[in-house]
Amino acid sequence: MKVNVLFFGCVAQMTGVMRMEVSAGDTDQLRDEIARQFPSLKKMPFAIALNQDIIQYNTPLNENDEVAFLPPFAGG
Amino acid sequence: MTRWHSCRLLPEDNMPSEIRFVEGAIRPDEIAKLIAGQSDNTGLGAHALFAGQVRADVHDNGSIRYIDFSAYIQMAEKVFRDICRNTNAKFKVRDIHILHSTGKVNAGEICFVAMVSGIHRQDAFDALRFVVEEVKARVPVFGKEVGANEMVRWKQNT
Repeated sequence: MKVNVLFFGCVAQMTGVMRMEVSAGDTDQLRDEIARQFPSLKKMPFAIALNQDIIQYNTPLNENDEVAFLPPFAGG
Repeated sequence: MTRWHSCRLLPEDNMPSEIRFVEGAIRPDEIAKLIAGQSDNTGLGAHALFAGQVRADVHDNGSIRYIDFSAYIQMAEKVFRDICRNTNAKFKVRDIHILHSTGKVNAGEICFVAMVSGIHRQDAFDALRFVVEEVKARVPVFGKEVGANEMVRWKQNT
């Protein structure tokens, strides 16, 4: 499945891009693929949002899903 | 020039609430407009308001000069809808307005405003605290603190 991956905050600073397209079947595969391309990600705290909802567990992906890598929030 | 993305909640949500992202600092007149905008809602008796200001905290890089905010706006709108539903279930309030900055906000300037409107002050006060804590914990906003010599530290809510 091709999904749209978004990066924010310090994660975007580390990757050097705000978005990219990646093929993966589930969120664990996607996380591994992103970590392979950007090894520094392994040292960073982040959450994953699938279609704007934070997920806690490995989740299957569908074509054109939006997956965001979110560092700790700092609003307010 | 002020630019914003806004999300006005649907009528079926039963609350004409709004989250709005403003480029740069939130000016005092924008806060005044929030209050003035409620003057036709004559059933309301209380507006509780919180304003967050960028603090010149001192770190290893010197004191903070400004914070450069960014946000995942589509998710922020979705989370805000959920916060409104939860607030509506817990408190007797009618309306929630959130303003948050994106981009550069200097120390001493306002970056976040929450206003909760209701019939009576007690529910407005209680709901305001709930809303502020929920926004800080759940709305995806990111802040790059920039100090002396453009040294950077990423802000993290506690």
